[in-house]
Amino acid sequence: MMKTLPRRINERFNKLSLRAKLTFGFLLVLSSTVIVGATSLFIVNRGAAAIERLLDTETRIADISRQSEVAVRLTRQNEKDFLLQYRVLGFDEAKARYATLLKVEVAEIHQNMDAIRQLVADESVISETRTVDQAIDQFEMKFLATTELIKQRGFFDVGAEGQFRRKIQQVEAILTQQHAPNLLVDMLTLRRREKNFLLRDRREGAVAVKESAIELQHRIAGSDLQPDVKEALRRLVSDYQALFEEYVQLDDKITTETEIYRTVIHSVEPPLGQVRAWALQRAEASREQVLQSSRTNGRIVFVTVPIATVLGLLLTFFISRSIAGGVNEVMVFAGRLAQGDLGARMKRASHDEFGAIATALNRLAEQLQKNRDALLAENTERKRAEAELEMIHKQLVNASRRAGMAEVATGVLHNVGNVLNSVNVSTAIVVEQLQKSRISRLTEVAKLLADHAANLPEFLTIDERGRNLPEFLAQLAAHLNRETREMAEEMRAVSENVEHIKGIVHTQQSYAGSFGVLEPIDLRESIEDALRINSAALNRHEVDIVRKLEAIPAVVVDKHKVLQILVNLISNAKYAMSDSPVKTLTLRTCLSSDGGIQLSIHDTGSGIAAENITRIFAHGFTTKRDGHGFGLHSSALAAKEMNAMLIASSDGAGQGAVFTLVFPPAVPERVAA
Amino acid sequence: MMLSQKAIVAGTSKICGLIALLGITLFAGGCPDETGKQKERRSSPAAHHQTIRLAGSSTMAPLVEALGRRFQTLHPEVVIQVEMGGSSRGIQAARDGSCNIGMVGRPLNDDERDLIGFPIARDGVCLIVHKDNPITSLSFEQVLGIYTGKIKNWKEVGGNDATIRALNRQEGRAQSELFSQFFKMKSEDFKTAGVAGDNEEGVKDVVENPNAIVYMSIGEAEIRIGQGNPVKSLLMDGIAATSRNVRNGYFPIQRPLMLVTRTLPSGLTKAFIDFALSPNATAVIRECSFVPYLD
Repeated sequence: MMKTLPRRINERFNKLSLRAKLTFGFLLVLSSTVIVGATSLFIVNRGAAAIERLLDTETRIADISRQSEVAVRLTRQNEKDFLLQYRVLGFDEAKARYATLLKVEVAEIHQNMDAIRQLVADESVISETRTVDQAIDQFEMKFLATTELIKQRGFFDVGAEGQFRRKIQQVEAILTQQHAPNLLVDMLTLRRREKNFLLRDRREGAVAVKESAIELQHRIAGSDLQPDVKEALRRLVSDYQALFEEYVQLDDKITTETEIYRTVIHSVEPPLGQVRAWALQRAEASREQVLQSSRTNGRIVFVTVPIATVLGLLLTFFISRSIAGGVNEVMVFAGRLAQGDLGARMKRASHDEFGAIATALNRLAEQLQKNRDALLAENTERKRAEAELEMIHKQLVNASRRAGMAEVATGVLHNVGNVLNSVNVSTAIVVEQLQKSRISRLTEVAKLLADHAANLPEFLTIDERGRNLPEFLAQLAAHLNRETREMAEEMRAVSENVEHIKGIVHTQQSYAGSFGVLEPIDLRESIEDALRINSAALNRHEVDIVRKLEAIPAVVVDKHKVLQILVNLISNAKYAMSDSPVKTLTLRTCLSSDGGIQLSIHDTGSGIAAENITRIFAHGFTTKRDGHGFGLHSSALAAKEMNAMLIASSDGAGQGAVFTLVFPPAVPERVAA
Repeated sequence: MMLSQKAIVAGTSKICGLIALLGITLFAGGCPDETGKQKERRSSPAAHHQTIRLAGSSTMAPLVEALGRRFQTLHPEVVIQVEMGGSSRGIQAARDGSCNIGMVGRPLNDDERDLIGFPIARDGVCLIVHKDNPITSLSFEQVLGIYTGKIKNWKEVGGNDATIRALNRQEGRAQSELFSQFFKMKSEDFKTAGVAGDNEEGVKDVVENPNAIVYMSIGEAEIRIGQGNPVKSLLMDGIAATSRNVRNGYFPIQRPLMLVTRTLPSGLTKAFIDFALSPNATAVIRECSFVPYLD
């Protein structure tokens, strides 16, 4: 899907750190924004500048050109007004008025051209303004020169016209005075032609006037007038001819000059129009530039913003993909780790933070894997040890059970032995009694009687012995009676003792078959059983038994374990009290405040030294001369198996000791029971 | 895991898509306005493009075209359309409104007073001969005689004993039209030794043939003479062939060149006529060998 370039970009991009990516991305977007903004600003400023220039320069130039064109028109109007009015107002007044106005306009045009030149740098425009300046100067010069020619030419009675008119008027006066009607006609012909010429201003008209003047000269020369009159007329006509010729030449020159300055003034408007057109085109160009700028601006925004957006999107895509990919990879990786696949590793080779995370996680996984392997090994070992331990425990339990049994059995045997001792004593007494019994004397009595069967009466009467026989028999009878009574007593003791043995054995038997059976028992019964098992020894040691047995609920336990513990504790107490002056064994049952059951055995024996109080339950600890250090240890174990606790306490050596068997508060089984 | 990865990627693309959509909407919203404005603005000059249609005198066509070009430098949005077809076509087109301005190379007749005429220049035709030709002036009859073949030798009109080499001008040219109209002839009826295509050709012929005679526009003749060519213009019936004499109406073979409209001109038509009447036209009129009104 990805092409080579995007892939390369992607690869390059992925080499960057996340921070670098974000920085790069934001910088890119920011710089794009800044570029767009700056460009827009630049273009807007340029546009504003262009508008300003447009307003300031082009419009002003166009205005000035237009004003100048108007000024040119006014100039031309003043020129025409002068030409129209000088005959009416008189030359000087007309010139003062119209030529002055014309000069004002010309000056304004010059000022305008200067103003344009200051506004533009365009060579062609400057050249046009120079053309205008030159032309208008030339026009002004030519026009003013022409007005002088016009003044020279004159009209009616001034200038050349006035002069030649006065000459011919003098001729007319002389001819009238001389009464020369023919010459007067010729003169009037000349004047008619002259008037025609003045009216029509045609070259052939001038020629006709000249011809008439020559004709008049001929006529005057050929007339019969006085020579001095002729001479005066000739001179006057000659002057007239010269003056008329001057007039014609002036007139021709004026026409020529007028054509020239008009041509010149006609050449002013086109460059002004060109300048105005140039200004308007520039204005249009400026407008176009502004529009172009705004279009460019729009295009830049239109192009840059999508590019920035696309870049931003791409960056977002890449970064989010990078992050998502990174997060996903971490999640996948974490998931695999969670599922126990500690062999999993993250494959990211990127240089960003995810790369660092991947590296760290990989190390973590490695460490985890190592730890787990170690744990597994340890676990196997532990399991094996546990199995071993369990086996040992079982063995121990068995051993302890056996030990318990043995303990009980020891107690039983001990007591049985004690009882048997009594039985033995009784039997010995009976045997001794029997051995030294006077019953044999009865046999002697019988033999005596048998020997004296024949003379029985005499014997009984005579013989001394016979005579003492009844008393002897009575004494014997009494002795035998006593003996029998004593023996019966002994035998009864034997019988009692045998019964006792039977009870002990029975008790022991009653426990023997109940191993491992949990049943509700009354602890008080167990106490009585334990006392019974130990009764012989307790009796022998003359231990006072004090029972403070409160009514307590039944406890569901292995009663053998309880018995084992109690036998052991009672035996220990009896042992501890063997040298004590006061031998009191106090047995107590009670409910503890928390609902548990406490069974305590308080002796007045040798007590437990403070340093031993923590060691007494340890295997092998004993204070007995022939002890194994096994009894309390196995009792504690048995208590633990019953979920009970065996607590020892003592105020010190010689202060007696209290062993308390604590059953925890009621559990459902016990309550149910 | 895979699912959540997809979900994240999908989420990302959704966001991207949303942003893209937003962007597109923004720009799609901004775009048509921009292009619309551009189109409108671009089309506006075309909409402002206005045409001034002129029709009529073929004599005036080059002058009006030249004036049009000059006018366009001041009014770039204007298109000047010039059709030829003679002065009567100018009258007709102005009258029926098929053009804005008619070009008429003569004064309006009495039956054309419904139209409004603006003379913009004058056209005069003179005859030129070699400078060494002793003839200085010819009467109308002499000119007509020469061009109708009745007068064949210069000595018949007071000149050297030499055969007159009369040159006609190409039919349809302004000079030919004015000249033949003045003599109430048709150009093809002239019996001449040759035809000079343009002014250059005519002047060259006269320079090379001292016995040649050719007619051309007075303005052109003045320019050629001013350039030092060994030619001179003949007085026509005693009247010098000068622009001044054309301008002041003394020279006989001349006519006004008129722009005619059906009504008083307004708008662009008025602008063009104003231009043609203004000093702006003076130089152009001269360049076209016509005589401007120097007012």
